Amino acid sequence: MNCLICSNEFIEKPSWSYLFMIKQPQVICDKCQKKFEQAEMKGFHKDWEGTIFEGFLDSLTSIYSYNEFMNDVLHQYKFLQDVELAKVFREDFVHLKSETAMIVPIPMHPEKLKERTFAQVDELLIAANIPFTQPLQKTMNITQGKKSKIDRTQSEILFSVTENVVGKSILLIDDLYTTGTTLHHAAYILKQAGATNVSALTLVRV
Amino acid sequence: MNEIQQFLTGRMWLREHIPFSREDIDNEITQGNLTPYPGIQSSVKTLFTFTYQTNSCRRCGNHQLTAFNCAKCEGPCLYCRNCIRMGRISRCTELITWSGPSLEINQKVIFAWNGTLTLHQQRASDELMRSVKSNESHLIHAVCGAGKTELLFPVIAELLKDGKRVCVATPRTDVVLELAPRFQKVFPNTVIHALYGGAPDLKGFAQLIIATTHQLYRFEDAFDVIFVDEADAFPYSIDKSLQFAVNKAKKLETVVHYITATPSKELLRDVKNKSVISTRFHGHPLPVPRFDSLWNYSKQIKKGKLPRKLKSWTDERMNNNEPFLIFFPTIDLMIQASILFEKIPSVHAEDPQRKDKVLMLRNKQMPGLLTTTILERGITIENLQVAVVGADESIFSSSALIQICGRVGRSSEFPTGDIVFFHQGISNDMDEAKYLIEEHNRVKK
Repeated sequence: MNCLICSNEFIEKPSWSYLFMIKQPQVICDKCQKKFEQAEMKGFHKDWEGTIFEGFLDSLTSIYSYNEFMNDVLHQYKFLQDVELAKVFREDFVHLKSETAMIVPIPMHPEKLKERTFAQVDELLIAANIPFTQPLQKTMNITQGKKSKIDRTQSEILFSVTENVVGKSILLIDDLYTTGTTLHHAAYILKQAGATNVSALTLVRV
Repeated sequence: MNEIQQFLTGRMWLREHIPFSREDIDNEITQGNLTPYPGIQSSVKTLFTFTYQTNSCRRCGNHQLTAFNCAKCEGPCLYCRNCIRMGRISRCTELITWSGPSLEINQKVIFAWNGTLTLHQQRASDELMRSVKSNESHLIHAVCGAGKTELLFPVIAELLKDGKRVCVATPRTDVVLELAPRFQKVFPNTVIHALYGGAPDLKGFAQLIIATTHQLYRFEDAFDVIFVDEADAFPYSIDKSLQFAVNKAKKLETVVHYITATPSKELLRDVKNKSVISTRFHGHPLPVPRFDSLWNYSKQIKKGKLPRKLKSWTDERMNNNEPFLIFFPTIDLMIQASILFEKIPSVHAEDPQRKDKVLMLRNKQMPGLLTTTILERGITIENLQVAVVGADESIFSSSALIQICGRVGRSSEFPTGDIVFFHQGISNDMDEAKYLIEEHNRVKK
């Protein structure tokens, strides 16, 4: 097998879970795997205290912290459109199979989706074989990365709700948590629509 | 002249990446001057009575495509991971090339080279010229330091004057960076593009292109003559899709010429016309490596101790004020050793400061460098001395070892130097390297 990231050949260590097909085969080599760092920071930014968004997002977990290697991998995944790399993170989402909350990936604007040809968050879940629902719709086509911090906290609500979520417990999934605008906006609109509990899981914490 | 024509003549460019406006491109397409091709080519093949479809990337020829569900073409789609760094090719992308009237090349060529060729170089250059004119593939097999680049000058000058488009391709970025300024000096009036991964995008039409073999993916039916330098070097020797790139980039009826110090057996067998140069331009014999045993070096280095022989070799170089390179078989071992050698930095392929470090060694700002095989070719440093640690490891093939030896004694002021292969048992490749070097020296006498 060749590593999906560095394309060097590697041999997976034999294990019982692999033999009985409990675990999916590894797609990257150990060397590349070691370059990812587990996230340490917990909770969300202080900036959100005192805004209208305070208290809407109940909890936040991130899997990895941001480093140069992660930057390169995400660049290849999102901007070079290498969909296959979604498989790199499939073991990180496998535990969601037993999740009872409604799993909701952050959606993309339809125009943006056409441009990128795939929805990067959906693909992460598809690669891990996790079913999800999509009650959200992105109403504004703006890229978070290109805006300044003040812009982000004050912008209009980015999403609308298109399905009934009354009384539901929801787990939002996103690729990056940077300032938190996306997730706080989504949590806000979902609770306004009647959701009881909204938590979030992101792949990377910047 | 039309800018779009200049840019896209012989090039295959992704529609999304073309540096011209959409209207201009669409306009040229309706006029028939540009032709869009689907990024993924499908062809139907028959095996006995079964017919099946194969798909391949139009740009790099890769057959192992990845399937995904595409939101743009709203269904299952294929994309190519092999050349993804140049912008993704999928079934719903288009590659565009110029198909209108061909470009008139009427630039005046100035050949500003006042050097002279040695007798051997002159003979090889004349032979190459003859093969180029009769359109037959030619192999220049010349020892390291024979002056391979110079002997290309008269041939390329002639071709440029005839209005031909020429490409010098090499597998390594370092070599492109070294060659491009030299060619520009010799042909001051000619537009020359140096192309490698991460190079700035150059507009316009270049009659002479110095490129890594990877960059040739982006050309089709473009060159009248291609010279492949260091034809045996990794990755050209193993990567089939790079050979595909070279064949695609040249015009259909033309052939490829090869230049190398260490031709593979296949190359020696396949190419009929050969010129061999066994002497360096300064006429001194090639330095011959000596073998010295160095037992348990990796264990000792891992324990934090430098092997005695290696240490005394290095100390001697430093006392004599001679620049040196020490080659290691793996990056890990080299990094451990670099901690033990306090004042000597190390370089490897992913090192961002690689260029600067080599320059510092050349300027005598540091005594020596630890390196992997990445510096085995293309670098010239006066009075360089070389040691290879673990020369019996499989990564040091005979051609790699010959190239490493070729770093030594390159200037006429310092035509000799020490090359030591530290080993744990002599390998066939070490013997072969030494034999081939001695053979060249014998031929000369």
